[in-house]
Amino acid sequence: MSKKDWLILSLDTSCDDTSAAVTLNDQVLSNVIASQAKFHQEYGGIVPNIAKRMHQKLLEPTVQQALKTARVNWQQIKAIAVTFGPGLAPALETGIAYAKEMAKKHQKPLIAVNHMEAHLLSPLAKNSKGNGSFKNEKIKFPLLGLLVSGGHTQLVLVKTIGDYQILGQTLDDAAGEAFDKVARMLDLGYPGGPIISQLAKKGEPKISLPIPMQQSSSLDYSFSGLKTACLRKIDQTQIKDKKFILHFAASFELTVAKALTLKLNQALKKYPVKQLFLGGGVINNTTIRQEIRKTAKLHNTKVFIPFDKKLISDNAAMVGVCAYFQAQKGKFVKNINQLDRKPNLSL
Amino acid sequence: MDIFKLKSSNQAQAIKTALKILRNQGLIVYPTETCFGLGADATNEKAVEKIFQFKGERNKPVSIAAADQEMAEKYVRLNRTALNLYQNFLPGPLTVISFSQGKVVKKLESNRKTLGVRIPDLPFTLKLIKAFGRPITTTSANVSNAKPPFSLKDFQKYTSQKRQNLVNLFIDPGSLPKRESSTVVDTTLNETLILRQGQISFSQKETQKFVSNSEGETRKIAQKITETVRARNLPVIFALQGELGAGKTQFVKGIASSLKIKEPITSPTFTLIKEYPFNQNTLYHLDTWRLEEGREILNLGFNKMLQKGNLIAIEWLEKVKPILEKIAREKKAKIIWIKIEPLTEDKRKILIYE
Repeated sequence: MSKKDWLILSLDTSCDDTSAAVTLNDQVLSNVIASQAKFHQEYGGIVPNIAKRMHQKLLEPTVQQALKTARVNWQQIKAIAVTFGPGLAPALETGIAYAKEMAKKHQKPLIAVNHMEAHLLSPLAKNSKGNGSFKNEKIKFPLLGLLVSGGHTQLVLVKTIGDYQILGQTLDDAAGEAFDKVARMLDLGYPGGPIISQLAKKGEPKISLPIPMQQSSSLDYSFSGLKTACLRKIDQTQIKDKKFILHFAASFELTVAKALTLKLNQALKKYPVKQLFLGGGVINNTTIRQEIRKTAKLHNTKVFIPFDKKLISDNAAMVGVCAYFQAQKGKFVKNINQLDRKPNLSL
Repeated sequence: MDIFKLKSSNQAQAIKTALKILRNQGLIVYPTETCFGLGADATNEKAVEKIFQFKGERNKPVSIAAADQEMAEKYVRLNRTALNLYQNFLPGPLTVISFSQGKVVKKLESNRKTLGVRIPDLPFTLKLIKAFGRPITTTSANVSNAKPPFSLKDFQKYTSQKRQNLVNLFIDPGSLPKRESSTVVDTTLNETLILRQGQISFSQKETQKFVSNSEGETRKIAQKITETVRARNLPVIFALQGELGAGKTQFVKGIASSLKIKEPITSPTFTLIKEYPFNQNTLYHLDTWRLEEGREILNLGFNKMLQKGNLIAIEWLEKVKPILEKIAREKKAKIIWIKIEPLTEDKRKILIYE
């Protein structure tokens, strides 16, 4: 490791998950997500328990695991990075308090990271061998970012790293919330994303649902009208059998994909960029990804997603990679005591 | 560890061998439609203890596999959402979480006393569980956080000898197709009776009544109400009731516009709380739907929000009504109960109770 290298311990406690990671520059050495490590992905940790989630007790073992997996110790760590927004205020506070404590205890500089910027730059992450989505590519500014998650739906113009312009965002529900709410209407349980996407594979998108914001020239998203249309369709349907549910899942999924690509298409017309970055949990949905790729292809725009599925949803490694870019520019927290959570932080 | 090469001709023999082991508190590795699973009698402490020894992670719940809905119903409480899933999509690669009836080993349940149930879509495995007469554990046959095995070779390659020795029998039908792990859904949030009707009943008569013909009108009504209550010397809570799509968020948009908040008011369902500063105060927008229990709003710093001049809009009241009533009794806040009822597609009846 040379003097120029940044070995960073990063934390993310923006909403449902507690995560810690170790990154070396843009390389991910470890990326531990508490709900997946402590509980198991097969079952458990589905409903967020506030008290537990915000308990500092969860941070310590997650951090220890991140250090252990990366085979590094506190002495080697050069800086600590933490998400300070946007997200759930009490959850953010927990992470920030812990990061401050560690920064003081181990005398490390602290880097405050915007969770959405971390999602945005997540395709730039590489694995420990230096391979990633950008192995044989050069980054070409300006580029577009499309962030789709439980809490956000945003189209961002990236002029360069650190210089962003939000072109459009949701005016009501985020795409991920729309999935949860439609799953609720169809009596499918929580969370809605994975089960709708599983059922959609066996259905046909033959139920017509309105694509939101078609008449609007703005690049903003809106899913509340689609939600109401779904409710109406479901209420009007007498027999909600297996076939209906499968077709509805497929139809809804495709409509969300069309809504996302409608605005993406408009954005690419206005800003003909060469590269498109994708991030956020909803990007795990294969239909949505396919539709986005189709749209991007029409504009000769290349699509980049993070090299590892774990980097798509909320995680700390993306925070570490984002912090690396900040560290290079000397963007550290000047007064550690004054760092405060910003639940409404924007790009 | 014995290996039983499963063929269509020796299934009865395989079941006989496996039953003997399950009855003797032993461990089996068995095929499912996703990957190889680790099975033990879900009602036997000693047998289940071996599962946790094998997995190496002691604090996480483990799902059970049942032969059919009838068997599952003896171990978990099935609500409407669960029944919908069982009747339409099981057997299949789906783990359905419901409240446990406490008849399995406690460690298999989550802290909330919920339990995951699967019905594997594989005739042999279903026959085995049916013959056993009670559920067996179902968790991928690998150490926690390691790769799930799809063949005997995978299993032997990635499992230490010590752990292999915990297993009495490996039922091997050959390699399984590589499929993703089963999708997990929690049905305990969806008490759908509450979702559609059965809402909170208000004993007293409403103090004001409006009819809104559009989202815009709903916002205007909210604006008007906000302006009349703002002068009081207490924090104000708008307790909003109405089904999905009734226009609760539209109402909060109206509150925000009367406070001259410029930011778009977006759904708080995912982040639980959104806060919007105005003048020296804050408008908080909460959605309790994703909370396990109502009293968790206290962990969200609810008492801190209760400051003079602040406004709090809460959606999804069922879980927090008792807490709100207590706050009203103690005169910590002024509560305005708002009921939004759809009349037609766009038309809404808005009832205010002070």
